[in-house]
Amino acid sequence: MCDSCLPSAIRAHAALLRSAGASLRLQAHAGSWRSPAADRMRAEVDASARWLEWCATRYESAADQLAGRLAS
Amino acid sequence: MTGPPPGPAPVVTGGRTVVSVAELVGLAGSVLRWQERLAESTETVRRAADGMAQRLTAARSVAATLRLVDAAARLVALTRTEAAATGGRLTGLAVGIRLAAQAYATTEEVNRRSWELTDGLFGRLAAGVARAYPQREVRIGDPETLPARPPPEGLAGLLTLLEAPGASAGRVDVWQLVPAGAFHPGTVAVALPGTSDWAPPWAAGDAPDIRTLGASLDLIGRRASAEVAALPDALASAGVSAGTRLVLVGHSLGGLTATVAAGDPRLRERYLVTHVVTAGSPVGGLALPPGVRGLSLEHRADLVPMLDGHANPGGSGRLTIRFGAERDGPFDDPLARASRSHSLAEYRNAATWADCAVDPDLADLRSSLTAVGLGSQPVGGASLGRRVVLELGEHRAPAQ
Repeated sequence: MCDSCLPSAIRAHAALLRSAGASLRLQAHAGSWRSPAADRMRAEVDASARWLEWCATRYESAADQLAGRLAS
Repeated sequence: MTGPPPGPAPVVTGGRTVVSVAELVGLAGSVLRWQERLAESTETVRRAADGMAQRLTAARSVAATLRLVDAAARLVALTRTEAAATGGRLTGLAVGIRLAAQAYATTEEVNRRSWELTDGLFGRLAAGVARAYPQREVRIGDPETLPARPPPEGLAGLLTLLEAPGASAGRVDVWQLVPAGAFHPGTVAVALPGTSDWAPPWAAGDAPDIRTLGASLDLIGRRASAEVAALPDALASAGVSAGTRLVLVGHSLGGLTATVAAGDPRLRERYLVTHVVTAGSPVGGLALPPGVRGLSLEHRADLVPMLDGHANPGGSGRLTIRFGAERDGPFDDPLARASRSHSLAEYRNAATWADCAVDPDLADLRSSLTAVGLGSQPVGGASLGRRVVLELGEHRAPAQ
């Protein structure tokens, strides 16, 4: 991978992290179960989705920084 | 806005409360697949960043290049931290979901087995005692017109129909809802009161009362009662046209009658039952036909809903609300408590709560009631009531 391609690769990875979070969240909430245990499980999935989104934000920030330095 | 009834918070069960083990296992599988895909993607980024850092370091270039080295090194550190944390988190999540699926599968199996055991026991017991009651013909009295009243509002309004004045033991009150501006009657609400004759088989005399303990046991044992058999003719006698939508509401034995009648082929052939609302009825062993929505109200201290020996089934469209306290205090009289908790007034209070409670399943049920003209908001118009009294007549030979 060429150096100038790296920011795009990082953004693609960030997008994948976001997709994973959204997909799992959607799947967990689309389920027909309603019970205290199922609600706890959904909360866990939500927490993991938030973590994946947080990681995506950090990667996006890293990609912006790298792209800026490559350009200067 | 009405507060919840006294005692612990009401609990709504049933409806969409269906735990699908297959869905849970599917979710756990998705988590693991995403984990694998993300780990692969993180590794690609890490290698690229690492490669860039090494190339730049080897070039021993100018200060600008050193800043890039720094950025690449930070990126490598980020990928390592993220990969470890994401991997651990998602693995834990997948394991947790798999364990939940396993626990649900075990619970379902235990429920299924205990259901089969208790169902068989209670059903056989009830049917056996019911057979000891003499079999008698049913007389359907001439219909009488009741004073018109506003349409019932919501679940509490439906339960109020059971308190119609001039109570006679075998009455079936039929209320045709005529919404404001409508030219034709709409839904019909049928109010079925509870047991009025608690005599055991050996004391059952020649009284005309149709709502006997024997009828309750017949229904718990899943045998159609005399009242269920007579209901289609009673409704026709009250002027309910074929094809009319019915909402059946019953207290105690009336709830049993309503639930069994909803599945009675003769009634279904002539009418379309949309809802069954039961208050303090042991309907755990009875199924509702597909397409019929059900709501069962059960006071925690009421002994009558416990007569069937197990909890009400869930499943699509069928809800149970358990409410009230099991005990009022350390010195309360259990019999007085059971009697008080079985009263229609207690159930009407719970229905008032259910009419405005924030719960998705209840909201869904309320929407379906609104669709048949029984929403909790006033719609104007009137309810036109007819009363038919069912009585037991001559003895007949017991069924073989």
